[in-house]
Amino acid sequence: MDLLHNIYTGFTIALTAQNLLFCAVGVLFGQLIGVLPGIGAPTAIALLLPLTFSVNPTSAIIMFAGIYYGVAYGGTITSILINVPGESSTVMTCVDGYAMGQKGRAGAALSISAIGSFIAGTISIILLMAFAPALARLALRFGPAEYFGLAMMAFGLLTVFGSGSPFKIIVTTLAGVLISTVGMDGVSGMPRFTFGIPPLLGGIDFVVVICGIFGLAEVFNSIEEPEGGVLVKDKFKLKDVFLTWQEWVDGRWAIVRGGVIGFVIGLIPAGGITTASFLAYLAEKKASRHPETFGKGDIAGVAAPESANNAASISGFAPLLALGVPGSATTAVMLAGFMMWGIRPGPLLFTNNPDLVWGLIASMYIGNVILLLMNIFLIPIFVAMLRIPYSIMMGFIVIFASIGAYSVNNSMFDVWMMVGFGLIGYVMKKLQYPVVPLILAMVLGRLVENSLRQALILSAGSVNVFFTRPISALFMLIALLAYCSPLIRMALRKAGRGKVDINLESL
Amino acid sequence: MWYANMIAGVAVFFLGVATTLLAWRDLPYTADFSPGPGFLPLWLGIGLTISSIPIIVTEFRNSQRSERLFRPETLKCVQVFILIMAVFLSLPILGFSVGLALITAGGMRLMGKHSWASCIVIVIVTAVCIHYLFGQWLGIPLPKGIIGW
Repeated sequence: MDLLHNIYTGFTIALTAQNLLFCAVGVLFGQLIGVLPGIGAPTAIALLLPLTFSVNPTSAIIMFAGIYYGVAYGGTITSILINVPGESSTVMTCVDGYAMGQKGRAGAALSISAIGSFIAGTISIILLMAFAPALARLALRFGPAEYFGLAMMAFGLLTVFGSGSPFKIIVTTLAGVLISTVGMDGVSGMPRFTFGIPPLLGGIDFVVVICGIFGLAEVFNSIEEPEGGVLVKDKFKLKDVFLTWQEWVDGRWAIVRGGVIGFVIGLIPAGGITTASFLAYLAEKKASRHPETFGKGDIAGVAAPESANNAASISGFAPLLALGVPGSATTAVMLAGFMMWGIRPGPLLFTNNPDLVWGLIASMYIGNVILLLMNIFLIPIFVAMLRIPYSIMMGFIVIFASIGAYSVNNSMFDVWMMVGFGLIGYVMKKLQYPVVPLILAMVLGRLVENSLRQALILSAGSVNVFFTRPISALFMLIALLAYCSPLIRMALRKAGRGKVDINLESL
Repeated sequence: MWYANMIAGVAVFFLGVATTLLAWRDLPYTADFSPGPGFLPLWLGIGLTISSIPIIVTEFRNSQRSERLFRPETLKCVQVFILIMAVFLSLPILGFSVGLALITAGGMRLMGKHSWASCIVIVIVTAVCIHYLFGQWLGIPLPKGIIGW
């Protein structure tokens, strides 16, 4: 009964005119961001974050959530029509989506993506409603040792799910925590790494780093590596987007499987929507009776990753809301937003701010319906957006990043810091140092330090506290295994196992 | 690319060493009944130093040293960077609204083949939008230039 009451409360909040408007603006904006190259969900949210200081937090979070799952819908369009993934989470969609487009079924591919995302998103919301409060109740038993273990697990899992050198992931994670230590120490009030520069006493603001690394750096990277592609179909009629019965039959179970995989992966800190779409594609290929058709325009190869990335983007809110631990760069930016509005996500959020939590969850239903309709009826408009030249967009990204950084403290010092982080982000991308661990670690840095210090105070300085409490010990064990995963993978590779078979030739 | 990766690895190593030394020298490792403000930074510094060693060793062993860091398009990046820096330095004269609007026009000229007329229109529209949207509606006190915007 409690759940039904909460859902009812959520809908009464989500259906107010203001929240409906913010939800619609969010999903529309997310869809556009997904379509446009050179800007992703974390960038968009980071650039808009400082502009929502004066907005009701519930409305702002509803809008940002709309951007997040809207991006998962929008990135599909470029994947299918020009073989360029709008987002990393839609890379797998290129494989069969573009092949379908070449066969003249681009409309059907877009349609199954929208329908799959809608159904999987709905499955994920229902599971989130049941799962998140239970997770929050469990988290009420967490002490500092458990929170420290949880953060360590999240950092460790980055090496499992991240791509590239595990040592580079570790370095960027440590650098992220290091950035969070700059400024006045929260306990002793002693300045750390401020080098006598007064604006650094307050620390390096998260928004400044995000605007630099995701805004300015992305501009430089997009200039250097422009995304191109040839439109496989540029004019759409409504009848083009209808599925045949056979296409629906071929894709329906892929949607369900992709949705469940996406939900589970989204729950794991650092799991992320990209991993979800990769795993769903691989699982679908394994489950298929005709795996040889994958990579050649199989509709299940579009339905599975698209369903998974949408489901994961929604279930990714469970660790954020219930534990206060973000699972991806986008939810990390949102966590910064929560902090900016003076709200602390975690187990008490469900009791202290039920309006926000249930309003947000209910708004996801509404957002998914809006996106489904938009993706069926407004496809021609989004296809037209593909023609906006980057030379125009670039300037606007710089404007938003600059104003975003400036507005944090109304200080030019922050703008110059943003430029510095922009250059760092540009070099990191070029040298394949991942930026997501840096962002996650920076957001979680304070939690890590506070929980570590509190746990050590409670245990009179003994580190055994992290290994003698069962939940904390479990988290630390997973973290340890995660950090050892590169060695495990190396051993498996030597034994001839663990080889991933993905047909990426058509990318 | 090899040299850049090597330099980055060495830079991380020195960042780790510097962090360790600064934390050791300037920040107390322990406080009353708890770890002090230097506790975490010290271990972060040690962690960075140790983690950078495999990166340096891997690069040292890497036999593929031909890939280049800079491409022809990098020149465009440099031009855009100079444009941004020039505008930021002249913000006290131009003001935020006009200055940032000039970045759009500069980007259009550097990156695309847009006419001067369309660039001027974009500058005016963007400056007005920044002034009213951010300055007036959202109430962000944007620094003003000599024209009062």
